[in-house]
Parts: sequence; structure tokens; C-alpha cells
Amino acid sequence: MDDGGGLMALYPPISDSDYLRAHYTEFACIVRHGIQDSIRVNDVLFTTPMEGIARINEVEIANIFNYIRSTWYPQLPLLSELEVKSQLENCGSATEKAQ
Amino acid sequence: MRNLLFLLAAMTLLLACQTEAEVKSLPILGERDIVDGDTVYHTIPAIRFIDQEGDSVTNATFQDKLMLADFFFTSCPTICPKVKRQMLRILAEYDDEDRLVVLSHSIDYRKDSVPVLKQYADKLGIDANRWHLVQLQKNEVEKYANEYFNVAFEDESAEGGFDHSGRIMLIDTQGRIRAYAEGTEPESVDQLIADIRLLLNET
Repeated sequence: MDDGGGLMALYPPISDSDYLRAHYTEFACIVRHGIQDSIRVNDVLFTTPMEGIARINEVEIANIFNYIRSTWYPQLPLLSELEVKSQLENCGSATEKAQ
Repeated sequence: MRNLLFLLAAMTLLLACQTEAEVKSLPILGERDIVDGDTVYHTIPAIRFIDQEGDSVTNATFQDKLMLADFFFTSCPTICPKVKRQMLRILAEYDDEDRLVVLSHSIDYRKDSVPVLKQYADKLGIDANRWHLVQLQKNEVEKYANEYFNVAFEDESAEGGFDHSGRIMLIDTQGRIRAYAEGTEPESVDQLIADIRLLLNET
């Protein structure tokens, strides 16, 4: 949603998310591969799988993250294209299942 | 001659005033035919589905009710969440109005079975008496979308595998389409909320 607030128990919020704060170093993997497992965001369990976006490129992923960062998480570091590449080379098992 | 001109001008004015007053009714959208001197309007196709509760949904379900119709699928990563949020907003606006019922057609004929729709509905807090989620068959997707002036088709290159429009259609008690909104645009939905009031008043 435009305000980043999510939608009830279907889509988690992104504007104030303890999950994002804890997992921002996996951001590229989450966008590219999605999330198949349940996740807990601000004490609410979300079970709807998130589809990955296979064709999104490194620059686009960095742009999305930096937009989210500048809008809601100014305390997090900026993400560069190179860092996106390195994140994608080290995606963990949680997101690889989506492959 | 001068009198005649004056008369004409007066009549035109009178007609103009009448049209002004009649604007307070929604148009009937779509092509129309004349059959035996009667105007026949475009109507939605027959309704025969199973909803998220496993209950059958037919034309009788919508008897004497206004229907809001849209097209979506549960794993849709693009416009569907926005449209669903607007649909929730419309229903909240007409919280006490049991003459307004929603029919959401899933175009994902592979994945969106009854249990999947049920899970989706529960997560959105959907009241099954007011909002029916149903699944179209593969050969129904384009046909139904067309009949509701929407676009929906399978497209491997689209996110989630389908391309579709996010229109919310307003249908009267006779199955005729009377108004619509772009479900992704809150301002457009504001207008639809007003249109629903107009149609309720004439129903």
C-alpha cells in the first residue's frame, strides 16, 4: 500500500517492520526469490507465500531498498548495486526454496 | 416568425432544465439492441459458482441486490492488494447496507481452489454474506472479463502469470452495468461510492 501499512493479515507492513530491520541484509534475496515460509512481523504471523520477482535486476533492487530506507528507515545503511550482487550470491535456504 | 423563434428558444431551455434534473440517475453502460421495439441492454452472464465457503452462488444470491464485481487472483503481486483495500473501504462505507454484495472472480484457474480462497478471505476479514470469492475455469477467464468490461488473460511474462485490469464494476438488480471505478485509484473509488448511493436510492 502507498503508506507501507500492509493489509490486515494478508500482507505485512513494510513501513514499521521488525522483520525488515532484522533481515535487511537479505533484502535482495527476498525480492528476487520471495518467501515461502511463514514469517512473523511485529508479532503477527503471515503465512501467505510471497512470490519472487525473477527478472528484477540489481540496480532495481537497490533502488527499491533505498526508497524504503529513505522513506521509513533512515538509520539503515544505503544499499549499492555491488552489495545487492553479493547478497544474491549468498541467499540462504529460506529463499532458495522458492527457486 | 419572431414569436416562433422565441418559442423554440423557450422549449430548448425547458429541455435543458429537464436534462439537468435527470442527470441524477446513472447511465446504463454497454451496447444495446432494439428487439420488437424494446431496448435490450447489456447484462452480465449467468452466475453459477462455488464461493470460499463451499456454498453455491447463483443469480438468486444477488436478487434485489446491487453487485460489485472485480477480477483478481490470490497470489497476485501487483494491483490486487490495492483493489482489495478499496473494496474493503467501499464495504465499510456501506456497513449497514445489506443490498450491496461483492463478487470477486479469481482468474487463477489452477491455484485458487475453494480452500485457497477461504484462507485469503479469512486473512482479509471478509464477511461471506457480503463478499463472495469464486474461481473461474480456464475457458471462462476472457469471456467473463469481457462481459464485465474488464481485461484478463494468461500472460507468462506478467508478474504472477496473468494480466488483468483492476476495475470495480457496479451492477444493478437487473444485471446491467451502471458504473465502474479503477480499483487502484482512491479518487475513482470515491466517485463509485457516490454512484452506489444514487443507485441504492432508485432500487
